[in-house]
Amino acid sequence: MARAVNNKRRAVVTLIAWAVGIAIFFPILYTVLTSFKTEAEAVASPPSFLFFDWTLENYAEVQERSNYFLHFLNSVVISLGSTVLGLIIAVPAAWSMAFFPKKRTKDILMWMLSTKMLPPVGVLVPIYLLFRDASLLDTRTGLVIVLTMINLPIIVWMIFTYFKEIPGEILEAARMDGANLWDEVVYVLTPMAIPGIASTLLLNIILAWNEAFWTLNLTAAKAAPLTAFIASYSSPEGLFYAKLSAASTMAIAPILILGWFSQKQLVRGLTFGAVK
Amino acid sequence: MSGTVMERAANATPPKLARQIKGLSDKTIAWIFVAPTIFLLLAVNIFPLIWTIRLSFTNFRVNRANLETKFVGLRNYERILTDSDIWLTMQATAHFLFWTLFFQVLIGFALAWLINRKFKGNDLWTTIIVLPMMLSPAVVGNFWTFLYQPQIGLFNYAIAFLTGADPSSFSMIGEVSLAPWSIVIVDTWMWTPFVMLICLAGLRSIPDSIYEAAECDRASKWRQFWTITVPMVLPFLMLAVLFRGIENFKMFDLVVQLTGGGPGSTTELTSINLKREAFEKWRTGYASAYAIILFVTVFGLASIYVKALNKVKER
Repeated sequence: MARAVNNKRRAVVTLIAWAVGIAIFFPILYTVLTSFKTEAEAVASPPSFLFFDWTLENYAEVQERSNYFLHFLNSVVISLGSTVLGLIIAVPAAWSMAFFPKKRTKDILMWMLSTKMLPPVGVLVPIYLLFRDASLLDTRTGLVIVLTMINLPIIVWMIFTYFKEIPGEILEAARMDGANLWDEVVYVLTPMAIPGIASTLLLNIILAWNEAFWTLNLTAAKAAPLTAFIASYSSPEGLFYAKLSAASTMAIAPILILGWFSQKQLVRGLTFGAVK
Repeated sequence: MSGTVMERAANATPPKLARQIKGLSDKTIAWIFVAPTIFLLLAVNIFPLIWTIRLSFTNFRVNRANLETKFVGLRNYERILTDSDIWLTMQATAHFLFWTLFFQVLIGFALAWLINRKFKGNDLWTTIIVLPMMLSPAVVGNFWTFLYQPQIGLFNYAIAFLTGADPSSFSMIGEVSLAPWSIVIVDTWMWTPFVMLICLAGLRSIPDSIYEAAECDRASKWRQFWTITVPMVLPFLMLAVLFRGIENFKMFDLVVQLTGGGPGSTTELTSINLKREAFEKWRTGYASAYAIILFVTVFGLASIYVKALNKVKER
């Protein structure tokens, strides 16, 4: 009897969960489907879902019109570059704050986070002027620098939380066994911190990949990543929704694929470590 | 062989120096490691901030840099705080902020509470619901313009299907009364899974034994909910609200791509308004003062909020 009630309850939970999941997923799915339609079919009413003439012409046209691959490459270089650079700077900082906490460590962390509270438009003018004088405008280097700085507080903060979960006694034990700083970091800390660092890495790649404000304002044609590419499709003149959908799909596909293959770390990163 | 070399090197090192290096490995190394981060944040965040503060007291215009820059004192601040247009954008931002947080917390918590256990395909489901927040806000804004089209848009079609209204009778991003809700809906779609996942983490962190103890004390389900579930999840929920609140206060790219601030200026949030002042009207000094006011507002609200959060955590 109790088991029957339990099973019923579980079925209801599964049903609700999947109804929500599908409702959330559907707009994305529909956009992807539309990208394979002809323009005429994209505006048909009622909309068709699977039974239409599948075509790749939108993709070909988007590539031809705005050179997708160049922007794709820019996105890859910028997001990977800023993530790696950020980690190199952040890991030592997080390490020392987690294992050698000072009286003011908490304040320093809060201060780092508070730099994220300023609306980016507020510092655009000085950064723009600096970049112009250093001729960093519309270069990948410039964007890597900006995005590293923008996301640095989040990287430090996340790695700090992951390091905090590692018990200090393990490090002490290693030191007792004669491990020096280098051994400690390479053989004890790193293996234990890898899942956390992986989550941070993924989150940061996504944040950098999606960042639109700085990329739009500091690039023109050469170094523009996919977010700038998508902005050129923002005001559809006439009816070309299928192409808009194709461009959207092309901009999000790499991230969706990356996410698919790294589900666990990604969910952990996106929820700032709350979901393990 | 190498052992003897090492030994000799060790003996050759004066004990004082060795102690100094050892001393380095604790405190000083800790500072050396933090220093680059602090330095870079100072250089790229604080230095421009100070520059912006300085500009905010002048009538500097970036498109006419040759013009003599005059110190105008607090005039920019005065003009902003008495400008009725700016109060309108503040209202639009408050509307956006309040309703997105309201819906995300309400729906996110309710769903998390309903689902609160593993079920068939739990991992796949989690992957699917985090998809929206992996997307670039610019792209999301872009394809939602399509979903919001009257007659052909998926959103209008779904609403028509549910209510029987004519799908071409309303335009979410074209009408003054609906546009503020259109951005609330998209943001809620995008970020409710985030709040829900954080709530789920909170719910799953509550040990069953607490509920069992409450059961023994004959506490009703209703009472258990208010005295166990809510207080235990609250710190998680408040953290989620803090993150979303700060991000939504700065909201820019999604709304620019979706509505461009229109129709009229009904969805012109403060960041968009600020960008217009700075790069369309080219009032650099004025816009700088505006940015500082926004920063102080967010910083002040967040500080109060963090204090409250710490109090909740201590309980």
